[in-house]
Amino acid sequence: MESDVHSVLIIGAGANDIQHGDEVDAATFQVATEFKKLGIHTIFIDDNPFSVSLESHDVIDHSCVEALTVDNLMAVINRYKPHAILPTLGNRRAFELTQKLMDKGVLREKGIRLLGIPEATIHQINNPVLLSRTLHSMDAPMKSIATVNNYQDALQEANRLGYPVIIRSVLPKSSSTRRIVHDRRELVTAVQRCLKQSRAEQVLVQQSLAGYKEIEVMVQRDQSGTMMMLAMVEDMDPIGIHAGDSIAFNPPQTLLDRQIQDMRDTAFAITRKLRIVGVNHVQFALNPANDRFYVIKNSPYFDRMTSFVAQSTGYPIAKVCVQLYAGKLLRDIDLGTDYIHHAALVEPTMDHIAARVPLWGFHELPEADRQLATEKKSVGTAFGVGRSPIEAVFKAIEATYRKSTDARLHEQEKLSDDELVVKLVHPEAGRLFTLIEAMRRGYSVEELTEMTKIDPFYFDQINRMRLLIEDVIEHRQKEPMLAEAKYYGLSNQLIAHLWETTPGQVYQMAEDHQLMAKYKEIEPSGGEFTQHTHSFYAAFEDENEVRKTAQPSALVVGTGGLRLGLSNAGDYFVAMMMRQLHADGFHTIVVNSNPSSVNLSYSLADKRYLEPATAENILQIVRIEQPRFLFVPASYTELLNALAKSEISGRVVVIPDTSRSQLTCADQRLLATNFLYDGKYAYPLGSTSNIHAAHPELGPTVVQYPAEVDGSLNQQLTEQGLANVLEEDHPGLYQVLFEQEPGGNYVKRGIQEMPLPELAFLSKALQLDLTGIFTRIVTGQVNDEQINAFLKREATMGTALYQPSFPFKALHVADGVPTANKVIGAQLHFLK
Amino acid sequence: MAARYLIFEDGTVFAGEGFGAPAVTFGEVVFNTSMTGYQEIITNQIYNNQLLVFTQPNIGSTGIQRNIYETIVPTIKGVVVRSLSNVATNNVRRLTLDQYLKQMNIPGITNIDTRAIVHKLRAAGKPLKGSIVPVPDDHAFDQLHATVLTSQQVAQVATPKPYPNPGVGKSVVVVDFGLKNGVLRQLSRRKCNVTVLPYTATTDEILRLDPDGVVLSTGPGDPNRLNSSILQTIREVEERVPLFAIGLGHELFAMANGAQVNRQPVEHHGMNHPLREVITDHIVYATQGGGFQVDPTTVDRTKLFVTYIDMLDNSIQGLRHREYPAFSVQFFPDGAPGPDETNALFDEFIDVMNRKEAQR
Repeated sequence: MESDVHSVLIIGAGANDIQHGDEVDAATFQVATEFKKLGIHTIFIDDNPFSVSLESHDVIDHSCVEALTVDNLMAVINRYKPHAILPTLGNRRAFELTQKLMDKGVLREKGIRLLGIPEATIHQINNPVLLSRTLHSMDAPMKSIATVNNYQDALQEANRLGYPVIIRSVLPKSSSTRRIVHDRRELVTAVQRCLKQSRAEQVLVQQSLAGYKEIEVMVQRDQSGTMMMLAMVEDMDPIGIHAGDSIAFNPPQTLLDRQIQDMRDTAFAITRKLRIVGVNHVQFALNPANDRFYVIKNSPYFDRMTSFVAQSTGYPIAKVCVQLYAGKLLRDIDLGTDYIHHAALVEPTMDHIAARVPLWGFHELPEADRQLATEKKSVGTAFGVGRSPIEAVFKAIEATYRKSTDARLHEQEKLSDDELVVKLVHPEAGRLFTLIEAMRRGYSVEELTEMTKIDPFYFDQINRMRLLIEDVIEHRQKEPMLAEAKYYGLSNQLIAHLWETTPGQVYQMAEDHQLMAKYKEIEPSGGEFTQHTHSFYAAFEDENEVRKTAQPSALVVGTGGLRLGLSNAGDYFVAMMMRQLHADGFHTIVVNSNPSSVNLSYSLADKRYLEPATAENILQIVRIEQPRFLFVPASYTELLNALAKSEISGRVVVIPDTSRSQLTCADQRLLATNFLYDGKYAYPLGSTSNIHAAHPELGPTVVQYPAEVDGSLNQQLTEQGLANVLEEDHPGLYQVLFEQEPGGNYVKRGIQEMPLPELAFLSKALQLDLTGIFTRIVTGQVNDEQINAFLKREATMGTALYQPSFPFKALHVADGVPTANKVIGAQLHFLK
Repeated sequence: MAARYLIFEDGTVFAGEGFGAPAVTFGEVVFNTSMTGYQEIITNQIYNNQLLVFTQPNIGSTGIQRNIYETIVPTIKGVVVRSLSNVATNNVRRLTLDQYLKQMNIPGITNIDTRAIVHKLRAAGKPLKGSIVPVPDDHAFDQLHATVLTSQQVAQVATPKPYPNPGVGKSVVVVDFGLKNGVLRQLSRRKCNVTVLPYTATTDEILRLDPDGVVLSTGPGDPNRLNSSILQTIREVEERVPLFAIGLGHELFAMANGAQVNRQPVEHHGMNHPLREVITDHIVYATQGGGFQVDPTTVDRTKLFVTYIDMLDNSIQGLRHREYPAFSVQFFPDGAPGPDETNALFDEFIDVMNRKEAQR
């Protein structure tokens, strides 16, 4: 079994969108790294310019930059003749593509195996009717649905199910026929309307699960049938709000053991029935009133839950899954010296709490509706780890919001009572602050539970958060208050705001009273065994588990969760930098609070601090680690200011994450000459342009390399640009922008650091690791000769296009105007 | 909440905040790595004589439920947590964990670095005595040092009198060493007609009820401290009726058949160890709790064979008699809290009783 797979085709996930961020790229990177260790070749097809995997030729054997279509997959299969296909790293679409390959008979004909998922299960996952039939046949609890063709039958069904029920048309003539019906009166009109809207003159009467608890279970199975539960995650918000938009807790906080065990058993049964090897993510709706629960979704692939669970438990999911894919059994997996024997078989247990919060794109898209519903609206995610739910949530908020918590609370205070009630019943992004405000205004837990369907436990916690904030305000500059605030995870920023002072002053006070953070390791046995994941979080308690990393070390501050404009280019850049630092003999330490980030991968980071990148955290970590270099994103201005003011030993290098792409979405025809500058010489990297005029069918958003401009003009512009770059005061990657005037002449617009999305694109277009060379220049690891050698390219890939995408459709923004700061993802395309 | 301290016999002091009863108690400090079911755990009588540290940081968030007690009068010596939630969820009278522990006269302490304590207990390699006190002064330590923990644990928690739990199915005698209600729940789910007898029940008293089978229950403490007449009773019963022994019952069953039971240097309480069922090679998970284990080197010379093994420490987790329909498990097959995967052992017990009946 183990011997017959020597090469695997991994189907990628394509451009980032609302449904996925870099968790898939992160998983692919880790999975491919492990395949490599097993001697299995990997072929990877994807067209995401921000993918680290696609550019990691030491990890992926054959990267294919191709759009994710069946034809392209066929071509790749014919070229590389893989023994197997792995469909679990490309979301649902990879399942759909795999099925198309199956339908064409390609797998049978070429004897290609599927890893992780049997063919029959691919069909099931792609077809909800098939899947629900299977689940019914095994008595898995599913919500009831009945098809009726008249009002009387609908009424009978509704009475049987109990209100509210959902009424939908069968084969609807228009798309929005779904109605939630709360009583008999509403039922009459809904059934009439939906019957009229149905081509089959039938309606579905469906049990509503709105208001139930949403529980996500992650289980794992090997091919011999051994199963284990990796985690259960509870969403604070009930069904009705997309799981990705809710605050989520690992481990669950409000579940009874019998509920947990029943859902665990069901998740096992489904995973067994579908013969899944690897991870399976099962979502449940639980009615807290009677313990009844329903299976609502089954996702047997790597998704944001997988990365959240892996980072928050310390269980190395990707590492284990690869071995399961390769045919190994859980009992035979050796996780190395950092873990105990048979660690892969130990169900993770946590002695900390992880809270995951959504990140929104409403700042860039103010016209989008902020109301939360069953469709996902958040664009990214961040998490906080603490030793109490409150501590975890305070940290997660700190990692998320640029705006301070007290400012968010002040906004809520301005709401009228009516506005507040509307927001309670129809929740919006950032609802935690609305809930805090509601408790401040004296709503009882019973009232709030009734209005929001949130478990009373969370109101207890929210109220304690509120009281704590009030306490801090009342006890200005008091040491015991500071100790308590730090114990519950309040940041110095928040405390400083409440005390109307500066975070630096609060830091000084904490230092004076020896109130410095200690660090605990995230380790999957709850302390029972000595194991090391090298992932740490801060705790203001007795024991400190962290030791200084071996030297020389470099500390890298991640760019945080996905945000519009930058998409994952920040993560891409940081990851590529860490690769280079590793290659140059540095021990890498990363500070990041985005669980999906590729730069938390074991092979990239020797040590991880899962903390918000605030000045207090970084200063304390620097004190422990004494890194030779500190890499900090330019957008972390407060942190950079604080670092400038403190005496730290290492050198600070700024990551240019604030530079905006001018070429993307410009109204004019623009051209950029791109350079690598080592502080002495500037090396031209070629020109890029938007293709406003040349390919109007592609829209005004696309960037092209090389620029559409004749050779001598290009030469001329490059020389102009070069002169500009040489005036810069620090080395880096730069672009000099030119605007074409109506007459055809190019006029210089200015110089800026190369925006990271374009840098990621250009690296792939040129097939040059620009981040790597940048890193070597700033760390002084390279000389002129080596740079020249680096820039000598073997072959050119021809014309490359960078086509960004925007979340207008997903967020229901009509007539959205594409601009560079709204980019959610992108596709890379080579013209042949 | 008032300041309280968790003190250890080696002189260590952890400062925290008290909850539950303000009583001062003494016991061995042990930790439990389960992430669910604090109410079931606190009410498990195996914690008689012990202060329990929860590694799961937040405890109390589901309040106290009416139908998941593992005993009505728990005798755990103290509850140590990192973060306490005061939530009441029950119907009639609101009851939080804090209030419940007050009613039961059990002290608790929160805001404790529980992970540090786990590291400390593992490093000690032996059970450490501790106490939750209002002031960590010399007097408190003197008292702690002077305390001799009782060896009469089973006598403290087992029922002194027989009582019935009627059903329409198989007649089962449960010998109570500090019974966990989960066992009764599982038998009741299988409609058994149960009579619970005190642990002092003689062979005669058991067989007089003409049971289809006998269950030896879980319970606290060291089986070597119990009167050896119990072992004789077990030997006499196993020859005649099907026997299913759990936890302390399993240890006694092993001893009755000639094996030895030893104390572990660090107690294991949790539900995440892989357990291998020897005959099928299947891996299952179950709740484990306790400080004693059957010495594997002493099983060979008995008429017992090993049925379950903990894959992490290779400890014996299940035994079966070669000649009699008698079997036992170290773990808790009734869950409550914990995985249900080994619930089927109760079905097996019913099958064994049915087969025995068919032979008559």
